[in-house]
Amino acid sequence: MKRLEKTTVLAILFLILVNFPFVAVLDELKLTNNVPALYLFFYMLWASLIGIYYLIYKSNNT
Amino acid sequence: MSLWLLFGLCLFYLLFLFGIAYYAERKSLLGKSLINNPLVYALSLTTYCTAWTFYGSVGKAATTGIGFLPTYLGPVILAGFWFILFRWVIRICKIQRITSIADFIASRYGSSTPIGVLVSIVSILAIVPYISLQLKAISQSFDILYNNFNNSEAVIQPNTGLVTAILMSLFIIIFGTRKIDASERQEGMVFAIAFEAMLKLVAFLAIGIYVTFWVYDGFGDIFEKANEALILERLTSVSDSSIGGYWDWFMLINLSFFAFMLLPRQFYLIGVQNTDESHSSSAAWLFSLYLLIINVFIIPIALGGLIAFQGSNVNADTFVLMLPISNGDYILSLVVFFGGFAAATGMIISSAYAISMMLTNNILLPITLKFIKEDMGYNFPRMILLLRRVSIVLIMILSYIFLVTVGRDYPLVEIGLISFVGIVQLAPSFFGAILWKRGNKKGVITGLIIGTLLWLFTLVLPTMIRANIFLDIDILSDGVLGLGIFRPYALFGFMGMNNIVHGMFWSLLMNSAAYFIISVYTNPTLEEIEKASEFSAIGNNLVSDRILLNQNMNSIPFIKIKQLLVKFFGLEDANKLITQYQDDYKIKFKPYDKVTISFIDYTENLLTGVVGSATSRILISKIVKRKNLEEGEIIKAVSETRDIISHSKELEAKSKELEVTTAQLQHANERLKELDEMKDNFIASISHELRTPLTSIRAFAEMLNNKNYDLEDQKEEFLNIIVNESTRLSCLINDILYFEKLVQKKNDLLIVQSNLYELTDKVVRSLKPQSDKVDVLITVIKENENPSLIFLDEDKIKQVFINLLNNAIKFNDEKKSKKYIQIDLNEQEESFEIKIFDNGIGIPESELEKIFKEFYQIESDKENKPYGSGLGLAISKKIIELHDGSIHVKSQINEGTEFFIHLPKKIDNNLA
Repeated sequence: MKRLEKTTVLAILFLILVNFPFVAVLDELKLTNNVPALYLFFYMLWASLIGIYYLIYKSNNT
Repeated sequence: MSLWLLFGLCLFYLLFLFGIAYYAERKSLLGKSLINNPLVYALSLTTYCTAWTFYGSVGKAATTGIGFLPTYLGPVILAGFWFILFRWVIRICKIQRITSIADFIASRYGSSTPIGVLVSIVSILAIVPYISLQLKAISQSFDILYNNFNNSEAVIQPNTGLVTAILMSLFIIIFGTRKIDASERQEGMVFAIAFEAMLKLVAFLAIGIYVTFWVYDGFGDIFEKANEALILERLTSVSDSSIGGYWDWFMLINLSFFAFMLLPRQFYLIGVQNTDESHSSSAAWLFSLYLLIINVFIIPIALGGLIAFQGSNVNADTFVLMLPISNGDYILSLVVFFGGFAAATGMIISSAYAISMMLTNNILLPITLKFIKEDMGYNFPRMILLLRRVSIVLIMILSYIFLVTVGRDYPLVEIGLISFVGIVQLAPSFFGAILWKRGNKKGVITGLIIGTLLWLFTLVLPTMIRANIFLDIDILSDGVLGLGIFRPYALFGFMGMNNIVHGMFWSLLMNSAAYFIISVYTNPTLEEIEKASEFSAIGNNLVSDRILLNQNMNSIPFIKIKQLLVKFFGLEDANKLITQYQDDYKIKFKPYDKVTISFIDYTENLLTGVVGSATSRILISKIVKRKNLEEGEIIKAVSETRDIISHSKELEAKSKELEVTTAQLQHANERLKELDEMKDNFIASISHELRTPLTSIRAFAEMLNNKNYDLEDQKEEFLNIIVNESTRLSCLINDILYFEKLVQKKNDLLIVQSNLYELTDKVVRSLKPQSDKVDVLITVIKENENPSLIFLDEDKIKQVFINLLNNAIKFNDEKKSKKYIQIDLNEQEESFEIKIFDNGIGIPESELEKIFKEFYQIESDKENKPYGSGLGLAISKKIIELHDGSIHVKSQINEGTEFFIHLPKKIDNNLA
């Protein structure tokens, strides 16, 4: 994986990891389509973990 | 739908599963492994998602909301450690031919039989209820489907469970007990498990999408309706999800974290059935993704069920099935039923096989072997396979008994979590086996016994009491013998935790403490030390060294070991295995030769794959009498091990250094070879170039000196030749010296600021007499009249122009009426682009790459054209490169030649 791609993915993952305040704001503004922010937060964290594992897998294989 | 049709569909599904397994086995026999694939490996690990996930998680979400998540978050967090942990386990399993978690732990602690037995018993106690839970799920879903299709209230449960148990036993016997070596791949079984993983995912997604987007209008709609029905708030709070709030969450995440790795079926699929350790990396993200996809719909289905069945007494565990049924979507309910069926059967197959292996190798086989004398002539392979089949049937019978006695009264999730806590009793000994060399057998046994007893007391006993199996219910409220501190759900008076977490906390704490304290205060046996060293070395990809040098092993004749191998592998396979060893070690045993220690190890290792490490050790010890070592000897051995490890680490470090140095030396050597070759070519070229004019000079001079010839008429011509050849020789030597100077003194440039256009004009003017002589017109095209100044060595760049223009003049095409050379000077932002092109005779395409090489001259031109040194273009290229520029050529025969020069305005200071 190229350095730029890696940095972009890592930056997105980092944003997801620290998304709690953003999710809270979205929740307060009623922009989560009634989905509780807590669930959103857990699933986003989950997705970011998958992304990290994918990156490790990629770097192990190159 | 009639009972028989439904039953027939189930039977058809199972036959289909048999077919898939058979297909994979056939492919494997033809040399194509279907399980040697990271996706199949990842899918096989999803047996973690059993009927518990399929039905129970929705039930749990409906009652505790977010409380179902820790079961899945544990493995997802653990997946980050797989990259290292799985590799260790896979390597150890492969090299030690380990077939189960009992084998793994027993093997590490000196191939201990008591540990093998203890781990097997704990696993059976924990997993049998878990298997019965799957049977329950199948039975329950079968009943629901049948009764709702036919508006009846029949109770068929026990019969469905029994039939499933029988068919599953048959499947495992057919596809799991065909090979005597249990460490070999079970292609059919694993592929069928992977197929079931896909089926349950598809079925769960189908019901998830159906509830979310068909019954309701998307996620937002479900949550809004749940909010209106006042059921949402209590389902979105971590603290409300369990009595202990965040602490319970933390502990449950840890529980699933450990259980994922330690569940016998998971260990078996992770370590024993792995085909390539790199698959563990891909499995980490694929498995986590699988869990995420399944989990996204758990809450919507639970909320959908709660809204739809509000006020009725529908069991939340059955929402997945009841939702499509209540809407009259029977086809979808069938799909869901088979999804749950796949989830349950996948777990039953893998679990029953994994624990039946433990039961055979650690309990039944050692007992059987005690009653068998060597001269009784048993067919051992057949006996082992028979015992494995008996074990499978036994496990299924036990599971069925549990189902009809206890299992019917408990929700799915509760039984599953109790099993998990039983299995995590293996955590201290398992992780200690990998990470802590000091952990010993006595510590493991003490820890396991204490932990298991506490697990039985805090979780299994209350289950039994609540199922009215035995004892008085007062124990739950008053404690054993009326002592309040011995209450199963509030041991030592501790309350405020979920029952599962409470049981896990005490059992694991005491287990770990006992393992640690006993291990610290007692000495390991020499075999344990050796195994600890081996495990560590294998995990780190190092070769371990034997330290049992002082054992009395050198008096064992080869024939005895061979007989042992023949017993278990048959004559043909035993001979193959022996030959393999002899080829590897370049050794040849005669029947009464004394065998080496490594051959005994090799035999023990082979037997481990068939009968497990503990039984293998028993078999070997019947032949090899190991000497009991004194404490002093143990300490000496420990010290030797440490020395070996320390040397090993030093050697590893030195080896890495040597690798780096070797790489550097190789690089230097390559460069030297290259330079040497260049030097040889250079000398060969110089010799040739010098010899040619010298030979001419000498020949003509000798002729002139010879009085016998009358050369008065040719005297002048000969002298001219001598003068020309001398001049050429002198030019050649000058060029060689000049070129060598350029090569050697790379920084020898006299850089000044200069006007490139004026410099070009000067060169053109100086060459005018030569160009006029052959009617070649030289024109210079300048892009502008006031170019920027450029940093360059004027003399050297002039030299380049002179070389190129001289060549163009020399190689003009006499046939053409109008002969010309054009120089285009273009100024760029950072550089000058110079193009010199002519309409001369051109250069053949095959020669273009070579013209910049030293002493290279185009063959065809040598006959007709004036000789040069063959260094002109090599010198030009070198000069341009010293100016950080580049030179290229393009040419076409009879059309002309174009040289392109790129010259930066500023050059690197280092060169200037």
